[in-house]
Amino acid sequence: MSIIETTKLGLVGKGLDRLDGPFKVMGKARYSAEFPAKKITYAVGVGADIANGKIRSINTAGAEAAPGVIAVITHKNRPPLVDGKTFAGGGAQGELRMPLADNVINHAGQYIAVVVAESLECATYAAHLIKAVYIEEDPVVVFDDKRAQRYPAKQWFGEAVTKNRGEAQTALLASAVSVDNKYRTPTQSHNPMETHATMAVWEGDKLTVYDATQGLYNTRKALALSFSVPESNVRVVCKYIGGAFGCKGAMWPHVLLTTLAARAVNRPVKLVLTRAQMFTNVGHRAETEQRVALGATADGAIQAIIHHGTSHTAVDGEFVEVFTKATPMMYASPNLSVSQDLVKLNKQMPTFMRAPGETPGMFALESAMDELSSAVKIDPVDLRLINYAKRDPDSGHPFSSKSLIQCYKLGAEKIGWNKRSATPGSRKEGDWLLGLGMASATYPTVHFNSMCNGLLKADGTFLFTSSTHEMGTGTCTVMSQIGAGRLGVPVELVTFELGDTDLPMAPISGGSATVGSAVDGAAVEIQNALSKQLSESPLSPFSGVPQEKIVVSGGKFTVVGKSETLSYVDALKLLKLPSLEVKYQTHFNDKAKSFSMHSFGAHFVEVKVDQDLGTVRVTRVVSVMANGRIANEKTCRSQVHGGVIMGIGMALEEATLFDSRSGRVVNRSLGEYYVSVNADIPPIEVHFIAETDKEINSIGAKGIGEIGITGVAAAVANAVYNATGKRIRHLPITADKLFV
Amino acid sequence: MRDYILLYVNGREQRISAAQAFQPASDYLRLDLGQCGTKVVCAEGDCGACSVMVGRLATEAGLEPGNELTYVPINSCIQYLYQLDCTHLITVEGLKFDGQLNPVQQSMVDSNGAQCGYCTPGFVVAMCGLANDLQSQQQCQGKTCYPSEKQVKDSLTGNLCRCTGYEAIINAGMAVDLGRYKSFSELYPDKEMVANFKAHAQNELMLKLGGRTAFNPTSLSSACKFLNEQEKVVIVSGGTDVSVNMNKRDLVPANVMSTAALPGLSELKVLDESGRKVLSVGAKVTLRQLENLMKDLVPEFHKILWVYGSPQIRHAGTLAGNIANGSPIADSTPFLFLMEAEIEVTGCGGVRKIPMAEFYKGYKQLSLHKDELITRILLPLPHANELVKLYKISRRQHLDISAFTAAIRISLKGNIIERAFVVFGGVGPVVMRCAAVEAALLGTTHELVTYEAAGKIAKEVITPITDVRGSRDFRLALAENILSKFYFETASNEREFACR
Repeated sequence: MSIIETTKLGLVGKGLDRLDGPFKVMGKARYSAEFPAKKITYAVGVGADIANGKIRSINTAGAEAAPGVIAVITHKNRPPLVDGKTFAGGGAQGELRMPLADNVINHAGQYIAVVVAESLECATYAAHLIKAVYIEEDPVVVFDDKRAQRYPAKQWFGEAVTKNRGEAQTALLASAVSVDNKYRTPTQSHNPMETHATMAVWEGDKLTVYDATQGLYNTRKALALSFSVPESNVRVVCKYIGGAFGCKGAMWPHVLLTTLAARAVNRPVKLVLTRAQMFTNVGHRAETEQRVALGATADGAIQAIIHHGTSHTAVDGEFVEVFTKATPMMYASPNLSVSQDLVKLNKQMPTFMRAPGETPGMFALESAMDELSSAVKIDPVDLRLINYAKRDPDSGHPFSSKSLIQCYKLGAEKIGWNKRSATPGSRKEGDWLLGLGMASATYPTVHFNSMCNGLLKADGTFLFTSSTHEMGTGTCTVMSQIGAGRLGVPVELVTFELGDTDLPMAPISGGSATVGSAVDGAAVEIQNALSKQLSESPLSPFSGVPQEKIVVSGGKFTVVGKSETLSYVDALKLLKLPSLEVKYQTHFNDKAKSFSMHSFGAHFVEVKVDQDLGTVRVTRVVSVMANGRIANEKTCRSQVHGGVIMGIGMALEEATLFDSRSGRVVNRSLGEYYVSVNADIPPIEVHFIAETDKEINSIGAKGIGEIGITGVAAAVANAVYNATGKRIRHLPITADKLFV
Repeated sequence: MRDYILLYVNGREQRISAAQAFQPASDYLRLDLGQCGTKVVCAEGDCGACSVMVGRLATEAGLEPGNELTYVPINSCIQYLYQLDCTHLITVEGLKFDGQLNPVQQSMVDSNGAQCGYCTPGFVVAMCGLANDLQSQQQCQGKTCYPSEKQVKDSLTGNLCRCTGYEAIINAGMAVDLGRYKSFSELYPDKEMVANFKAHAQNELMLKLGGRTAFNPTSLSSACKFLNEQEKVVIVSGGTDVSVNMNKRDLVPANVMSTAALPGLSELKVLDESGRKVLSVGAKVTLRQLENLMKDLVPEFHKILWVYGSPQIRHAGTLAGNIANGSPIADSTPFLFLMEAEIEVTGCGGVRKIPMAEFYKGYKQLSLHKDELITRILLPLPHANELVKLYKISRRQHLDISAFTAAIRISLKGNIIERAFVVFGGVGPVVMRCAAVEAALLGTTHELVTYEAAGKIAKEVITPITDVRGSRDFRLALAENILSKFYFETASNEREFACR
């Protein structure tokens, strides 16, 4: 399909400033809660105080009588809703249960009512007046609770979870050196800065919903289904997202509640989640407990990898945190066994959170690699090189590109890995113990099919449209760059519009995938459509020249051997076209490819630990990423930075804590759920290994939103071990654990 | 009596009646005025996304209302409107210079400092606050000069970002040309506002809505009378704790009394009391004003104030408020216990002083009578020859609540410990002086074994609990180790290397 070689686009794209920057610094970027509507009303969701049981009775009289209250909806008076489908089941819902379906309570904070009032203050006040009486049962919120239902996880989006190569257990026992340990990662909450917000506006049976979502089309489909209206009657808009990290991927119950309430009160309804509700009503990363056993020869060649473990799901649904996903592919080992169990807990449904699977999984695997390195007395980098997988050991396919060796080497050089002492606890500076650690990073490249329209206007400017999402990743900017790069025109001439289901279909912005290939394809379509007409039209100087002989170079159409060149505008004018519009749809089929497609990287971390207080400070990070073509150096760097910071948070700070007696989240605020502040974050050096990947897609790029976090927690834990001699296998690494 | 709040927002006068007054400023800006640049993210002063600049008549330490407005950044989500009577708010929408991005905003664009953009307005406001301060202090007008990395980082400790990574934002701050920066007073001439505020300030503000009352007295006698006559009055000083409880814990006080309009409580000066230097801190002195003073006066206390909450919190919160809040993990109180401070309280019957050690009767139980409020803190300062160390142990380096605090003060005669004060916080229901540990130290030699032995005693006599910030065992271990750490920090010899 390519008219020009992909590589001519440059392997590292210009660090273009984000185009929406000025709006954001002026406070003018409009997020979902900020759209105005006439006769707006405000809704507040009321959550259950218990985590397991039933509502015996619910008294709404006080709330209904409060000034300004328009409606109070509970399971007793909820208008009908058609049952939806979960995200995994082809729908959009984060959880299968429909809100306010009945009196059953499965997790703390589950909605038991929604109050609609004239003002937010009225609604908030009235919400406090709702009194429920419960039939309470003891909640099950810990893995080892004997009442917890446990069963093997079979599938994850059609792929088998259990995998075996050879005889892992036998090989482990026969290995000269082995390590076999349990690692634990806690429940974590996404906590984007913007809490979820929805505004629903009905006009007859036409519905417009402003929603903070990573999945506009999915949301539209789900709302159409549940409210029994044609999809064409539903428009979902989301122009800017104030961060998401996965929690805005699926549709959570408040979207249905808001839409339902708007229909019930026949006025626009706005509902904005509180920070506390971000811990109980929009999913979370599941807790995991993982056994990783590695067996190796005395010279470090891995003979057996065993990665088994458990993550939780909700009592009324299934979500698998596939922490074993990367393991079969990561290291060459003749014997391997991975499998996972699920345990049902009285927590809300878990969901995708930045690099689902790899984030907890690589913590365990890469910690275990460090433990093996100590056991076999081989440097951690060397151990990884010894076991380097040149081909995907799982599928047997070659990698479409893999530059992990370069990542290890550059990272080691930049951090000064040769300063590391193999003996833990042997470097110090005053009260501080110093350590260095490293870990690998990886995330698969996935593609979802999407559509993009391209428009060449008479003034020579271009507009690409696709209903994808601006989560802060710089989508508008990078898509404009991709379009401009293919067209060969300055980026100033290209505009990209997103965030509205009135635009062509785009998939969920997740799995580090977006619509770059669709934009690229639409740009090629513009070129093809023009060159076809230039070839065929008698008005054209290239009339009669076969289309394939007409090439575009530097934004000009030309024919080899001819001196004449035509710009896009020249072509339009010559062909007497007012403008040119094209539609493009991608046709990916990753499974049909005989290549294994992954990003790789390496993190190197330096820490210091106060020997009296146990406090850990990360003092330096070097991250080297190999992500195919880097479309925009600035935005890509920023993604890796953000990922590393979230990884440091995961290593040292983040955990959603559940009270084992009540099942409630104890720390449901940003005061007690710790997110790194700037003082916690050291200088982070990010380097890219530019890769030419002709197999992966037309632009040669791999997603970069998620890989940055993978492996960071292990690199920190490994550095802490190097500093102190203490191996912390249960995140986060608090002073408490280091030291008591 | 006045029944409306006078507030200016980006130079425009707003009169706010009781119907709108019982909400945080952030909600008022977003919902009532439709100015959505100010974001609400945590609703408890823990992220800075709702930062706005507040201009007040009296904010200079020790000064009573002058003739110009002084601007500081605050968290608007924990400033209820009745606290902001007679102030000028500048929001992110009001920062432009002649319709163009101001140098801070332009720098944020150029440095890729905005990613998802949701924390951005708060960072921009906080950075503008820094630029405003620096360009007036450093006389940058017309010259090229830039904030230092430390200045930028210190000004942004109260702003959380979840996606960009702080580096780009800090770089943006360091690239702001202060010479091109216009002060807020240049941007918003304040003559009319000042006159309006002064005219209004004479009148006590009383707002009533449903069963709720908010009262801003203008005299202590009026304040004490209100306290005496009304039931369950919550006194709001900076509001950085009360407002959090209102936002998060459904606290809806029937009666709120703000100290904002009370005169004579802004004193901050060093007194000489028979040879001992004593700092007098008025009840309205903010933690930031105290921090500035302590930088040279008591650097050790400055160290604690520097990590106290965030600049936005310190610009609003007061020492008196921190004392009255009565938290066992309060950051400021261990030093007050250590120095045997006195709390001056005023009631209908007059003024009395309560020694710090007698101020708390139990968890958040104060020795205050119904009609009394704190008016002053008398804080003796350490002598130059005393060894004083303060410790705050928290998960994060800034913007965090302590898991454990300690304060140790030792006087030596030769190498013998002549006086010893040891205070712990976060190990029981109140901040406590540890008499048993002090006794063990007295008369002994200033050497490691002494402190190790004292540490063991400390561990025996405290009764910490396990909570989200740390386990009981962790706190016990800290109480033991902190004494050795004190020794190492105050002894001149190099520390022996020991890996615990």
